[in-house]
Amino acid sequence: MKKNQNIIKLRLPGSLYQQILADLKRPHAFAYERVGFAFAQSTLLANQSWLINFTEYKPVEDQHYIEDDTVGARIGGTAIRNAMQTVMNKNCSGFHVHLHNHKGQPWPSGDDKEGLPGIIESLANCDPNQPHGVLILSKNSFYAWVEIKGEIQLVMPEIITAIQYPMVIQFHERNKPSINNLLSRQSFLGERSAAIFEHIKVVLVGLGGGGSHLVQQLAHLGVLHFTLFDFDRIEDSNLNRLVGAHYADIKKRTLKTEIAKRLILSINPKAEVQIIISRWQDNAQALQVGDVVFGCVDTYEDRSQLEAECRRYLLPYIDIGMDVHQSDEGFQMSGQLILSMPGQPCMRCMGFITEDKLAKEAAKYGKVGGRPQVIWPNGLLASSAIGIFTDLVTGWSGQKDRLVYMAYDGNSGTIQKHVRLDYLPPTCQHYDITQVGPPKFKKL
Amino acid sequence: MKFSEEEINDLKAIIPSVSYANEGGYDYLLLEQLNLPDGCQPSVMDVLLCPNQRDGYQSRLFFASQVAGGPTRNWNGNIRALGRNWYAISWATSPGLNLVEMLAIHLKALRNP
Repeated sequence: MKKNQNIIKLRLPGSLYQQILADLKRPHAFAYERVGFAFAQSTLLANQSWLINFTEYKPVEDQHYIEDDTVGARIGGTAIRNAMQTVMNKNCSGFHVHLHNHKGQPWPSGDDKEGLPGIIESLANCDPNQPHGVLILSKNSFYAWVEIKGEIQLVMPEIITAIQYPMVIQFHERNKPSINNLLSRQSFLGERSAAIFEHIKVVLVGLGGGGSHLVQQLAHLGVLHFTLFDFDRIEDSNLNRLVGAHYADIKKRTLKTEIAKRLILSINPKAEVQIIISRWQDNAQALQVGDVVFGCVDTYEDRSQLEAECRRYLLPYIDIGMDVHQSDEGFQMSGQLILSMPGQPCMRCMGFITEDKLAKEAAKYGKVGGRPQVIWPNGLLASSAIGIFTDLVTGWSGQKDRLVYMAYDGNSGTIQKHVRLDYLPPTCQHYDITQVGPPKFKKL
Repeated sequence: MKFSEEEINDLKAIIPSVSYANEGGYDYLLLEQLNLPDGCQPSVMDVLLCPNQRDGYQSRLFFASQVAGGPTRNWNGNIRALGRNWYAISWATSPGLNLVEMLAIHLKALRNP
């Protein structure tokens, strides 16, 4: 197998991942292991990289196994034909899925290497323009092969992730990661934590008061791959809160992305920082190819659009923001930290984005002016967001299926679970899993 | 989407290529290659009709790009929806319109007086 020159990323929604695991663990009357097929909506990016987002799983039915003691499971032609039919009907990617019931990264057995490429070929014959493959699960990891049109060999994806809290993340590396001395004090985050930080790509939208704190802490944490979106240049009124900005930047009108890049590289010269001096909407593929997205944007409309894009491409989205309001009692400072996980209730379900807020915001279009902003609430919210990010990707705290909506009260200096979390619908009311991947319109 | 077959057929009589998608709880009707009012540049364009309340409007019509040749308007909507970037004029419609009426009133914003 070869490592693909271009990026292939496989993403499974958490609920689908749990469904697959539960199904594959069921005993069968005579087969030693179970098999299923997972189907994905795949997106080919301009750089020939593939984003493969799984949306559906179909177990192989009991009667479609063939008794054979020499292999873990042998499935009959009907099971394969059914999977082929789904690929053909839905113009989607198809993956043979089975479980190696142990912990750690699974590797294909001799039988897998011998038998599975033929099944991939059958799926590819149904829709050769889509990537197809094999996905092997263990109790806490993955292995995959992907057949890409034009590639002679099967290729291994760069990263496979299950989008849940905490995420399950697997890279193609065979070598065990080592924690060097630079990160030795955070070794409690897990033996794989350093490798996760090295491989994961974070996307930040907005490099102002919040975003500048985030990049600083992410760089200290050991994150190596950054994509930064901001088209703004620093002004004198930004210096009160833009971490990493120098007085001289005001005169030079330095781009906020350049300030962030300079800050990251001063902490870790090995970091790879892609800066994009535009709205993310004008370069959306650079966002889609990330693994976790942070949003530090000013408006509900911006947040709404960012969340929609992240849901479509199965990207965890972490939002922070703060405001200062004046009332008869004086100034009130408040803010929020939200983790919007695909498949879980969204910011609309949480009541954070509402039509009423969007309407009021639109009515004030162009009249926002210089809103009050200070450094410490941005720092506090950013630090809390980094804590959530770290737990999300490493799982160090042991918390599972956590929903995050934290409310910050700047007057009392407290941040706590938002009361609305107690009243959420069990599933998202606004983003369905069928909407994952490139948009599909239904002809009327 | 809460629109009758009749309303949709009326819309298709004007523009045959009508397709539907939902994102973030909003319904969208994609009208491909819609003829824009006289004088518009370009004269034909994909548009996205959102028949739901959105951003304080009863409905919105999003264009694939800003349109020249019509009256000067406040292009205050610049969004990404359903994998594309779209532009909208600040243009109010009344509640209770059918789809054809909605489209016609939005297109009025592009007509020269």
